[in-house]
Amino acid sequence: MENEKDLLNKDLEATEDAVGLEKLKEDAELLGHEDIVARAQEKIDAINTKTQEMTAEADTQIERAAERGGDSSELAMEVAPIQEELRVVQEETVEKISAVENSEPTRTETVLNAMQHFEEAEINGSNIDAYHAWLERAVKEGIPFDETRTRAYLDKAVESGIVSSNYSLENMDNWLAAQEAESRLGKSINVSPEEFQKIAQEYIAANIKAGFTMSYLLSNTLGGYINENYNKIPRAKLLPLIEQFGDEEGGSKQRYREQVEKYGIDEIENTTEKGGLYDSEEYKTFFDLNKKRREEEETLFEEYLKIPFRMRTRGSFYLHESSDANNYIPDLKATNAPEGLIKRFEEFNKNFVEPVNQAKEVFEGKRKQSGITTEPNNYPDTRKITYDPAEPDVKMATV
Amino acid sequence: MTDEEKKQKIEEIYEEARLKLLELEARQKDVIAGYFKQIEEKKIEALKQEITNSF
Repeated sequence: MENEKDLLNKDLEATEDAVGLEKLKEDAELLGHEDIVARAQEKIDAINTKTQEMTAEADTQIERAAERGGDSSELAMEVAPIQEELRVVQEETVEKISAVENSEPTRTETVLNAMQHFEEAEINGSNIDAYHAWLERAVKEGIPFDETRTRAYLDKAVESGIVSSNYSLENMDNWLAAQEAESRLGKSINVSPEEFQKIAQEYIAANIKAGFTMSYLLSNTLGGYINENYNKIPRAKLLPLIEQFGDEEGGSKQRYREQVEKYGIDEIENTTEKGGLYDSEEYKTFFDLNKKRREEEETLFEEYLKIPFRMRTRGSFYLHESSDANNYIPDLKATNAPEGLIKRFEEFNKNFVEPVNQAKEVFEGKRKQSGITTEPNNYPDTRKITYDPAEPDVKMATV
Repeated sequence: MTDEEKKQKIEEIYEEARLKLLELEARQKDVIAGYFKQIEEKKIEALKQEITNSF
């Protein structure tokens, strides 16, 4: 084992390219586990050697018994109980050592192992690459750990641009709780003011528990909520949210307040009645096509998430406005993903996105003519789907 | 069980087995030596008897 470490050290000094170093790093990481295997085998070999020596010695003496005037079968009977004990000791020892060598770590130990590796990675300054290297090694070696959650953690860390300084598995649960609340806030544009308030409070609590302060996100989300709802929800319901969650120092509270007071509504216009704007064929077409698009998007991602992880080479699983179904195609082709899935991605825009955009344009033209500015709460949300990798399912961006 | 604990446990199992084997080895030597001593004593006894009978 020491020789291997010496060789690795020599190789490390001689290697300058990244690929070579990555391979050396893997070898070095594997040494930890090989150490246990080597230790166990060394002890098993020692026990086996000793028992073989004792059995050979007994056999030799039994053979010599006749030469020395004795009876081989008599001596064999004398040593038989000892040889039997010897066999039991040898078998039990091998069994016990193998059991320890192959023992499954406990859940706590799994987390401790993970923390140790993650902390080592941080100390080494290798950050996210080392985290991924550890994760892949854990998968390869069958180390039991919560792969989904850890991958989610890494993806979120990469996405946030924060990959080492504040995060470790120790506070992963808290961090994911904050992420969950953040995710819900991101999907909360069409919720009621009461629901927004509830989620925002959960978000603040989760962040405080995790030791983070990300109030800017809350303030920005509130801004998005105000922008989306100032003409749907009466100002009497929006103003308290601004007072509670707006950012005084950043000036956003004042801006939101002015916007709602100036452009907000007292009551929702009744435009969904029979013959009204939102009862028109143009609106229904727009509504139905968008519903179909979202259904297709949801099942498309469900299928996408079923293919092996190696085929899902994109860092996150989001199909934002800035992203596009076409962006996934090169990676899917490069990893030989199923053709049927690739075809669905290829046809998604033509069959589902473009019809929605056309229908929306037609309807918006009609609305402009009507002069109506308010929107019903079920106004089609044309944003794309968001998959939260912290959870093994696909969720819509908004309800 | 951590890697270090595994190493320690393997050492403990090995040490226990090693002591047991040493004990068995000693017993086996005693049994074999005892058997041959008994053979030698029988031989000596037989020789003594033979000498006695020759008088």
